[in-house]
Amino acid sequence: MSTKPLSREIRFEKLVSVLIALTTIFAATAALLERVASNEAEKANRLAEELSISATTERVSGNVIFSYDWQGAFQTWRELDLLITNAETFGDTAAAERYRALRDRVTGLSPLLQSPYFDNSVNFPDDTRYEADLYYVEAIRLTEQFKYQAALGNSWEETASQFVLQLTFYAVALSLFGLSTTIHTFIRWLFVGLASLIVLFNIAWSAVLFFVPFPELPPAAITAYSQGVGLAYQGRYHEAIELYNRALSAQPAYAEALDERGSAYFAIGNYAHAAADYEAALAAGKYDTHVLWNLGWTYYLLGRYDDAIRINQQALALDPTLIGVRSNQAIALLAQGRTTNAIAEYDLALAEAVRQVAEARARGEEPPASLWYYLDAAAVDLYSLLDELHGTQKYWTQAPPANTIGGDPGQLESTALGQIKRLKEYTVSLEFNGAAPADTRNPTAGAFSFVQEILDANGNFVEYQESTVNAYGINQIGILFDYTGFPVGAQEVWKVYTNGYEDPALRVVGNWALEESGSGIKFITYAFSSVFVFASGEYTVDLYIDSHLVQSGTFYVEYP
Amino acid sequence: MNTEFRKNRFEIFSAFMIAVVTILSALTAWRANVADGIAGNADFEGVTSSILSQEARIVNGIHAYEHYRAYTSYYRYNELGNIMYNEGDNALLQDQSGLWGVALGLQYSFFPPRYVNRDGSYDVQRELDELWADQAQQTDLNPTPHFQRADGYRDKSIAITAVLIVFATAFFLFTAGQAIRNRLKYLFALGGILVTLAGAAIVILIEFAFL
Repeated sequence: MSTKPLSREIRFEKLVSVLIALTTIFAATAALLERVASNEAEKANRLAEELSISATTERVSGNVIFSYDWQGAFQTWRELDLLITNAETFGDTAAAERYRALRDRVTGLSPLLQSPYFDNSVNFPDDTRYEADLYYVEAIRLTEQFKYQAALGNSWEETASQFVLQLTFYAVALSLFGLSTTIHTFIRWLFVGLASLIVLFNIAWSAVLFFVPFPELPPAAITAYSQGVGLAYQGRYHEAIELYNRALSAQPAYAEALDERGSAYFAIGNYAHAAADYEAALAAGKYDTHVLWNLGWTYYLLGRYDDAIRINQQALALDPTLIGVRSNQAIALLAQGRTTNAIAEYDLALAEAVRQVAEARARGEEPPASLWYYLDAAAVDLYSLLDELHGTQKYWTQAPPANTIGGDPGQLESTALGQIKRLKEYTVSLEFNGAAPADTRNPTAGAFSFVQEILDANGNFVEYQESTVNAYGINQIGILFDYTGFPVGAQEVWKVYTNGYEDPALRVVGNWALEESGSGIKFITYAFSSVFVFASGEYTVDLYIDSHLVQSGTFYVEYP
Repeated sequence: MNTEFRKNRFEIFSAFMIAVVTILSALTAWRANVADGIAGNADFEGVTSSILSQEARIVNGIHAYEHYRAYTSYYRYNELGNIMYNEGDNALLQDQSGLWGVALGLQYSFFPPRYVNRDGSYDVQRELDELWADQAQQTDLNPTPHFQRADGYRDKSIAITAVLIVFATAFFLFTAGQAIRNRLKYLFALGGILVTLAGAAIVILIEFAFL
């Protein structure tokens, strides 16, 4: 009677012992797999570190060399070229020949001044092609490899941590097996059953881990992608698209290639393809403000305002300080005819600009230079929208098709002009005073008259001649205007926009030195040199008094 | 009594062997961890070396191209002086000698004239190579041997960890032998002994291979 239960007890204990031993084999296997995964992770992470350092070195070293090529060699070449022009202007042929001989010898100092990088027809080097060959493509290739290895390292780490978790479960199973031998009721079978289930679950889990895909990025895809980026850097977008296609055929979910191909399509004006690629890049995991910003703007240009607004909102949710996206959101609302919402969005953009400038100045720092660019660009975009509406597009105009622009055109125009004035005044006030424009008495000025000086045979002034459209070759233009309410000593800023964008070289900043009211003339000039003339194009001149835009006018220089 | 004694003797032997296998497993795990630690250290040394070599590349490049920039100014003054000299116009003598003077001043202070070739060009690559060679004598700029060492120790760590499966198998065989009542238990015990010996031999071989 007494031996039978004891025998069952012993049999149970022996069964559990065997199960424990079996579990130990599985645990040892999991430990080995964890070690393999950890080592692979460490190798990938180490390679990623190396590639990251190499990419940085490539970029820095390349910039050091290019800095010499551009500002050492080419600057010397350019200085000599300008001295030749000056000598020829004054008829000093001997000096011109001397400088020419020296200029030609200088070409030996850098490959940038030689074929295939130097274009003798325009006397200018193809700097982007040189940079691409020198370091840019290689730096991109190394960066992509680094990102791939870092992703691979993360995947291996994830796998290793899953095996660590499995080891913990094996420990639990072993404890349950052990505890089952201390119990003499049927509950011990519950312990054994649970422990066995855990072991079986772990085995199944290990099997599943073998089929989990790891990030894949074939070297051919990286090479084609980096070459594509190099071509896009040179503005060779069609060729770049071919290479991005090659990269994407090797790895269809290559998010970076999708993003860059989207940008290349955008650059050649194929907005529909660009939007599709940006969407694909988001879906492939490149969900960042850069892609969202580009996609929102592309939808706006396609006239898909609801999509533009939705995407801009997503970008702003990630980073609400993006003034560029905020103004894109505003113009999308405006183009949709939602004037009040658009003005509210411009209010937010300007408030953000004020905050960023105030915070930077409070820290004794400067706001990012891009802030001025985005404020300027917001005004340019509004001009473009109006140009599209009026059918007076320029070659730099970026605006949605006129037939998609909604709302009352009159209201849209008055709102756009009002916001352009605000944006410009805020830009000047923030840049020069660090604060929003003060609500002071508004100075006013009459329309600008662009004039040329007429001189007699002795070089004496005779009269001003109206000259809004000028032949190529002028090196000076005068701006005649009547004005009232310009306080003496007030801050005076002249800005000149060439083909839509400000040319800071022509900016004039000073204090108003004339009487409070009267007539004035301002010259924008290259006449102090014997070398430069105005390039062909559209020149818009803005005058700000104490950050108030008092007048704006446009003159043109024809093509030779 | 005799059978009971034999049975007890077998169980004592099996328990002893299980204890031996457990100790061997612990020792093996320790050796795997030691190898892993060495691999980590070698990786760190390799990355340090890699950073130092890249830093050297950048700093050397900055210095060499600073010199090349100064040489460019020198070249401009010197060659303009040469052109004027070849014109043979005495009226240009003062300007020409002034240009040569500036060129000489630049050469004295702003770049090493050692790297000016016989044809008057500047050998930037030679300067870069010499700077690199200098630093390579003073600093470890080659990460490859460190990384190779790290990879070797990682392989060792994995190989030793794999032996843990062998010891776990031996543990299983001894345990199963204890659970069996017929003569098959001796076969299991023998298997356990052989597997334990094989595992220990593999660990020793791996250790010797890395000595």
